[in-house]
Amino acid sequence: MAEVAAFLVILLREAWVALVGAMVAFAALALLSQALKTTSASVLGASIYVWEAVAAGVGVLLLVLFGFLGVPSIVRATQAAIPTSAGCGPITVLSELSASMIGSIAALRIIRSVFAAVVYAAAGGSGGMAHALLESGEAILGMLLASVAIPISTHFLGAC
Amino acid sequence: MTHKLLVTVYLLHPYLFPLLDSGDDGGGGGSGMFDKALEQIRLVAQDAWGFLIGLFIIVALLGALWLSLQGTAGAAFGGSRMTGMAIIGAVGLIVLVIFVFLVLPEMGGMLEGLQPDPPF
Repeated sequence: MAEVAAFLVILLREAWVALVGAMVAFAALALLSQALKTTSASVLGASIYVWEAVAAGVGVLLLVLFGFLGVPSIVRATQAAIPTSAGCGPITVLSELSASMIGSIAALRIIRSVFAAVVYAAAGGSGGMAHALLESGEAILGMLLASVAIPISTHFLGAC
Repeated sequence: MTHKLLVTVYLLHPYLFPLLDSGDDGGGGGSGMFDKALEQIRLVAQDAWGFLIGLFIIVALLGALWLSLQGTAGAAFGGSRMTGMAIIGAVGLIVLVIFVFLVLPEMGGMLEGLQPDPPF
């Protein structure tokens, strides 16, 4: 079981690296397209479009910085909150494996939702961006709930 | 059900088994199963970048021509405000071109350097 969990974690790590790389490429393109929009609007004298494009570019940059600097810290903090030694015997092994899997899947879900938020910010969809950021909060809440659920279920089952 | 699982494993085996053997820790340097997808994304992004830069050059050239015409017309007819606005627009255009050609690639490099390793 440990080998399977290790394999799945490697797979999730590969997915993380791919998502982050795709996010860099998309953010660079989004910044360039907003610069193009700013230029064309400023030449035409459309000041509202200029400010819209500047705001979208700054939003994309801030979201990517949040994804690259904030998300790993949040994931590490919430992962540390998940108990890994609840119970005894095989329950301990199971809880360790489940803690690592819960943390990995939630981290991937958060970075995916940040990527979706970057896409929506570049396309000007504020509703979709809010929904994507809400999803990342939901993933953090799920991790915290899991951290409570593991010891409670262990005690409830009377494993030790 | 078992048949479907076997077919899936057979289709994915070129990706799965090197991943098991490589001992890669996910640091981004190994031959993972998402590397091909990432390579395709990079190729498409490079094409899109070239297209957008070309479009930007065309828009900037047309904008510069338009602002020159505006400034010349203002100067010829004594429209000092029109000429002043055209000069301000040209300065703004130059600032934007410098931003796109000098600052944006640096910003992309900065974001690439900030890529976090998996926190799990």
